[in-house]
Amino acid sequence: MPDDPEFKALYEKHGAMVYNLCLKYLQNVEDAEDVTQEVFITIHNSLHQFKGESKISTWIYRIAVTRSLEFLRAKNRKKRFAFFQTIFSNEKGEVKVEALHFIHPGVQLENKERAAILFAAIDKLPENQKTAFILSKLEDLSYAEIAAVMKVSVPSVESLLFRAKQNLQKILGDYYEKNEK
Amino acid sequence: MNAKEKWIQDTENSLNGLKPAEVNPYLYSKILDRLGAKTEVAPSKLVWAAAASFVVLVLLNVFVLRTNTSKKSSELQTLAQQYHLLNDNIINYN
Repeated sequence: MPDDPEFKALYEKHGAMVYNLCLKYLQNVEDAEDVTQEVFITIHNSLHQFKGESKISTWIYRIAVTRSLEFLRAKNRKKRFAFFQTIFSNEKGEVKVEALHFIHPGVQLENKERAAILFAAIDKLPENQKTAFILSKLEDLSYAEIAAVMKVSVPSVESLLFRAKQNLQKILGDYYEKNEK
Repeated sequence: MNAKEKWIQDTENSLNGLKPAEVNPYLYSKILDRLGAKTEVAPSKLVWAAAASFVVLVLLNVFVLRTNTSKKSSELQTLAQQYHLLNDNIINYN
């Protein structure tokens, strides 16, 4: 039964966390809602497989991260396909323009512009670095918790975070040279 | 620290104090709708029973068709014999 009290309690406890994590990855409200639904359908269908080897929040984080990354990969594949379609098509089709910068609803007013630039930079990071950065800087998880979610060692998390920061500084530096100087 | 480094640092700190976004109050209902839609899929036993009855139906049709055809051809032969329409009995006028 989908509407059982245990599942409802799980949603009430972790729903907001899952939605907010998805929003940070996908940077789009509708996409975040779609993936949150997918996450809870996965949780519902595989709750009996959860063996309690890790904390339930770690398990839910892992599902949310995996689903978000899968969604981003599918979206990028569609983008590439659309790009090739426009190249090989003779028609001058309309190119769908997406918002360049995502404005997170929880950002402080004075930081909106800078936060949008930072979100765009985070979006350019490789998957593992992006996950380590989001979980550490935006979700405030400890290195041990991130290691458990990503199924890697704590030194690997440290290394991923170091490289993520380096890459972000490079991306932001390039942005500054082009737009702010 | 030069202007560029300060700008990068300020940008990196721009998500400090980020508040969680509010969740759509209808999201849980949407999840339940999707779960409900998924559970409406017919159970596999029913699918196999339907497939088996379909096969039986096809076999019965084949059997009935074959017996009817052979019966019809023997009836036709009897009729042809009664009216002397068999090849042997037809008079060649040429």
